[in-house]
Amino acid sequence: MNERVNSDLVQRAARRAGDREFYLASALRKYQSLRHTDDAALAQQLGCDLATLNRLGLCRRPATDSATFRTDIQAIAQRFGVTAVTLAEVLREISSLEALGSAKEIPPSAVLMAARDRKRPKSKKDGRRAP
Amino acid sequence: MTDVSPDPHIALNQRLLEGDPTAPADVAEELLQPLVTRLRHAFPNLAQDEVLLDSVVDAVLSYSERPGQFDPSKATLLGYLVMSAKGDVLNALARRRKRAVREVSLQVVEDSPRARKLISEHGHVASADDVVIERFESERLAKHIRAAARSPEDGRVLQLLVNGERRTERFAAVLGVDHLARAEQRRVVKQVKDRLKKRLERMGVQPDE
Repeated sequence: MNERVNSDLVQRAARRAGDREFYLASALRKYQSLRHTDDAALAQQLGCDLATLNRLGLCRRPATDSATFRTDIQAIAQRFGVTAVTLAEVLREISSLEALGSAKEIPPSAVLMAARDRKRPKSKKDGRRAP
Repeated sequence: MTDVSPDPHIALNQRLLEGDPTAPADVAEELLQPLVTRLRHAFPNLAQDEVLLDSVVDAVLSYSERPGQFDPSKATLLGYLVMSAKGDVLNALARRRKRAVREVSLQVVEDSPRARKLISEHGHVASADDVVIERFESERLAKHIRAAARSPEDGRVLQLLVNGERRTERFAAVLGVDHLARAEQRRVVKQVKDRLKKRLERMGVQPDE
């Protein structure tokens, strides 16, 4: 098999996997966008070369809230020789950012309605409403 | 009994089903190159086309996301992915053809009386994509027709149908019933044509294709 051709195909696949939430490449792309880092810098941070970074992107993205997160990270790190702690940190950072992004999508009117629905405690002494 | 050799990639499918996070990377590593080779053979005109490469990549990525859609009892993993990628190529070419027709049409309306004449004569400008789609569809049709013909007479009747022949006497001649009365010829010809059309429909081919 022509290794260079296959490496080009893997690179192309990793690039297209960046558009799919299922793949680790999507999280790595978000991280790069957040930190303004290129592939070389990210590879260095994870302790691998560029070819390995492409293959890494084609792994399933471990869910940070999953019971298998730790074992998934270990399996990926062991297989591709990357730093498990760094990979876990990258994924946690992106997950937090995504959670924050979802929270921002709640319209301000819904927050106001929720605030109005909250009952105010009554004053026991004079029956007047608390301020 | 048919001797079926084991699928060399079945272990990858099992790893995906078990949720191994590194399995999708191995699927890509092992299957991208053989898939590209198969697709280049099927679509020689598109050997260097981005559409072919992207279709192969998308077929592999989609499979790893939903490995349950592959049924190992029906095909090998490579065979399944070849079918999937071929479908993607044909869809992409059809989209590209529509886009090209729309762009040419708009240009025609804006500027060129000569091009407008060309469109009115040919419906649209034939492209390399048209050639690929038509060749692929003809091959598919020919394969089904060969499978539907269970006798030399069947084959000759199917050939006439494909050629658009409508005259009863031509069908009667190939069936060897042209010595019968006209009404009897029509009855026999209709019976044979209906039987063959039904057989093609069962194979997923519309006889009007």
